[in-house]
Amino acid sequence: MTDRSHTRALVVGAGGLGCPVLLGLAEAGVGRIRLVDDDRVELSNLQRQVLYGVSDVGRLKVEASRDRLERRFPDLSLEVEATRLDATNVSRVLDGVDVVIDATDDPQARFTINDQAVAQGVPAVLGGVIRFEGVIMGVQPGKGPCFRCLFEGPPEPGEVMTCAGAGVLGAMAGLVGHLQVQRALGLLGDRPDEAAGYITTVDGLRGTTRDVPVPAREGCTACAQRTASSFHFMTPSTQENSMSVAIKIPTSLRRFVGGNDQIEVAGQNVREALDGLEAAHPGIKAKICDAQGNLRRFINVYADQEDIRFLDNLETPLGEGAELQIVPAIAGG
Amino acid sequence: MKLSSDQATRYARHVLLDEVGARGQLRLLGTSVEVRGEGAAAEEAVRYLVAAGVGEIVVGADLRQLYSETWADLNPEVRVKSGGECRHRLELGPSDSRLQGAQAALKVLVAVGVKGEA
Repeated sequence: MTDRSHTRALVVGAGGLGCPVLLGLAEAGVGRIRLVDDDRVELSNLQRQVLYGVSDVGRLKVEASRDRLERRFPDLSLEVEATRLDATNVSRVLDGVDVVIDATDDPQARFTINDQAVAQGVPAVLGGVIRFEGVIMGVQPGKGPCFRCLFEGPPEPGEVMTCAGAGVLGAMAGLVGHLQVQRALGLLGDRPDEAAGYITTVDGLRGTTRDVPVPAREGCTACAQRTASSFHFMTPSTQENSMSVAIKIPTSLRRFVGGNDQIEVAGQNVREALDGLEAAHPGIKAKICDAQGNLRRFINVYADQEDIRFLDNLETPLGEGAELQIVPAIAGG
Repeated sequence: MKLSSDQATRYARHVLLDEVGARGQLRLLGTSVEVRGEGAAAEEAVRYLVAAGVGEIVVGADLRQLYSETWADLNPEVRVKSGGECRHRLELGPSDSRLQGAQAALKVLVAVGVKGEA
């Protein structure tokens, strides 16, 4: 086994994602873990936060996890802090770590972690889980896309669902958390390039995962903080015009389309395809576009695996047999 | 059958899911799963099945002991035993992949909680 006894990992959040992340990292031999969380254990956490028990209800999660982990992994050096990570403390908390794992349920914190990790040159694994879906993204600062390249900014409060509001199937948190561990070990290993540059989406109902390549975005404010950044920006490609388009529907929107995961529509560009989708399934477009008809900023649409924001946005032409994938960002953790 | 108020709190994140709801949670509470395996994968599957409220879980002797010594208070209303007939079975063998264990547990939760298997 690789010697990771001197590796230092930062885990932000000791909830649904934090529990599997902590167990997975400790078991992989990561010697030093810094854990930051200001929450206390509640009964409703125990449906998925598998490090805790009823005797922990009311205790700080960082204290409960320290007790459980130290008993199981006596060699682990665990440093805990009962703080909520925010812009005022993120640079101190990130200082000196080899990798950071975002296990929060807070989209604002996800951007704070991403931006500071990129600025300080710390490899990061971002993640989110809600209902039956999850996302994971590994980031190598200065060597490819970051989370802000993909989503320009956090949503307004109330714009996205949280686990507390929309629910989550318990083992989904385990699946996403362990995928984050895998990605973190990849970033720490010999071939970090294989662990970054794409976002993984998880469809729990079908039991499938999908890796979607993410281009680095020119003008990304997070990447601009890193002076050494000199990576290649992908150039958009265009396609022939034509008719039949397959739209991949994420689980959160399937209630508009009778539970289907794919809808065929006609359209020569993305706008026409989305209008066709709305005509067949009224109500869905408002979840994808705002009142002005522009793409909501926390939704990404890929035309044949390319983010339409880097193409011609809603006017991006679609070829015969083109595939549109709708990828909503996820708030929960 | 109805969920008690404690159960409604404990399983609130499942009940909130339209696809699961109180009925799906009651099915989970009423089902049984045998988890075969000796490694961390089996342990992880059991953890998530216990947390989700799968009523009865049958495991090997070693895992039964680990469970009672280290994390039996995750969900005291679940019975984890080392023998008996079950409706579902997960075969995880010697695997130490916790990812695989979580995936296996998820499959059962979807089959029973969402798709309505007993």
